[in-house]
Amino acid sequence: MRPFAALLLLSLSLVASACGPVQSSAVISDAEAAVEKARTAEAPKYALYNFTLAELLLHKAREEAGYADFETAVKLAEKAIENAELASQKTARAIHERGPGTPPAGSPTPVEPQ
Amino acid sequence: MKRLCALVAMAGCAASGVLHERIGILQEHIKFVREKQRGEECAPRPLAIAEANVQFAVAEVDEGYGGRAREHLDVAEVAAAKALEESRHCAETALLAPKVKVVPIAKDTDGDGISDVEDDCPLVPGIRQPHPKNGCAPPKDSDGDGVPDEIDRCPNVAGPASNQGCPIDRDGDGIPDDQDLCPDEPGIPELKGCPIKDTDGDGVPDHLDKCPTVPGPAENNGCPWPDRDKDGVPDKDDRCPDVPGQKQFAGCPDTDGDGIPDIDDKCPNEPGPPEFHGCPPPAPEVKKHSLVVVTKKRIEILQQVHFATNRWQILPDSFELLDQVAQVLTEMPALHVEVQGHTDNAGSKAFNTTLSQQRAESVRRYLIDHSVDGKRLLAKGFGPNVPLASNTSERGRAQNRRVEFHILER
Repeated sequence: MRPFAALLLLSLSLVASACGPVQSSAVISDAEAAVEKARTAEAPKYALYNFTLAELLLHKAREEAGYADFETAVKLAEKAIENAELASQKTARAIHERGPGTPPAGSPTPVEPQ
Repeated sequence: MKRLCALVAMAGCAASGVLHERIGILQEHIKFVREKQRGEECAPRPLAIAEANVQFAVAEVDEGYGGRAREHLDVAEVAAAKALEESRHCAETALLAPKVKVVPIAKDTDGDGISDVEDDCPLVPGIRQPHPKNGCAPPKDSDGDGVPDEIDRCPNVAGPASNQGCPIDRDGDGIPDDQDLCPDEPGIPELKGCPIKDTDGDGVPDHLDKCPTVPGPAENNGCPWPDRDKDGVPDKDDRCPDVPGQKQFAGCPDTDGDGIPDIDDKCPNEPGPPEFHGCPPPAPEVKKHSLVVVTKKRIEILQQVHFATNRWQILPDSFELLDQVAQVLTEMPALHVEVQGHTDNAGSKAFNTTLSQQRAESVRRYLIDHSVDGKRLLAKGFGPNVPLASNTSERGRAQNRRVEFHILER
């Protein structure tokens, strides 16, 4: 009975410790998808502010995951998703209001994100 | 160890404070661009970069990663500046656009050349400087050292920022290093910050010592007194500055060693006592005169002094005798003599006494006339009172009629 209990505890702890990386990589993947979707929707042209934020947050999320700070990585990735989705919404609204290919007034020429 | 830990903790706190200050400034800056300059629309990318990096910096500070926080703040500051620049241009353009309702932003109330939009002190003329003091009056800097008074520990004395605006004075002598010829040795202002030195150890500091390597008294500016004869007695104290001598004789020699320096010695080569001015005392010899002999108590005369009968005139045959007496007295100037006159008992005593006095005075006068000082001579008549022989015979009376010379002092 004792060896079984020990084995169970070990398995649980391994699962628990592996939970962070698994969750963070899942959220980061979602964020990457959201950013890519916004890019495809021409968010860099119509919602550059949110799109840039999304990219930077995603980048930082990856960095934090690299430092094994999975909790922070998840939070950042979630924010990246929010901004990417916001950028996509703004882009869709702008295209709907002004027509495709018309950038917002006063907006500088979009550049590729760093 | 505890102290070290405390220091590290203090340094950490100070660094954290600086980071928070930077974060606060950036947040204000971003807020301004976003709200006043339509930043999201006019400078979306730099604004996003600035915002994101400020957020990251906040997180890193909270996690205790100051270095990473600084990197994010560096990026954020550059981006924020760019956002301000881009949004300003965009905002002005937007102002000109007829369709857009925007409040005038090029107004410059204080006329300092910085529009109110950019001006953190729009009512006070100022200079262009980083937000949040852009357009504000420059900080007061009384000593003009580039370190504002508010953070200048020495606001009235110029000093580098690295020393909190105070002049650097490594040796702590109160003279700033840039004016200190000896910045690592405490010194005095008279020596431009260099220490007082006394190379020859004569008590006169080198900077006042005209002979810094040769000991000398302060009265002679640190130089030794001159000593021409090199006898160790300086010329100023040397009675014989050109002849080597002895200290006890004020630098004069004493050749005959009689204790009287040559300069005062009438006989420098013959020892002699002071009463004879350094000369040997005269020998107690008595010069031989044919008619006179000097003894201890008297000047003995080998002849009688002859006078006129019953009178006091000296007869010429006694002149040679008295001349010799005068000569003896001249040769022996220390002698004081009593000239005594004596008679026999023929006649009245009063007459003889008077006669003997007159005869003694007559002899005294003769000697004075022959260059003997009268003060050395005393004349006294004894009459018949001191006979040498019996007055009963002519021979005895002849012996009693006499003149004697008694030495009173020699």
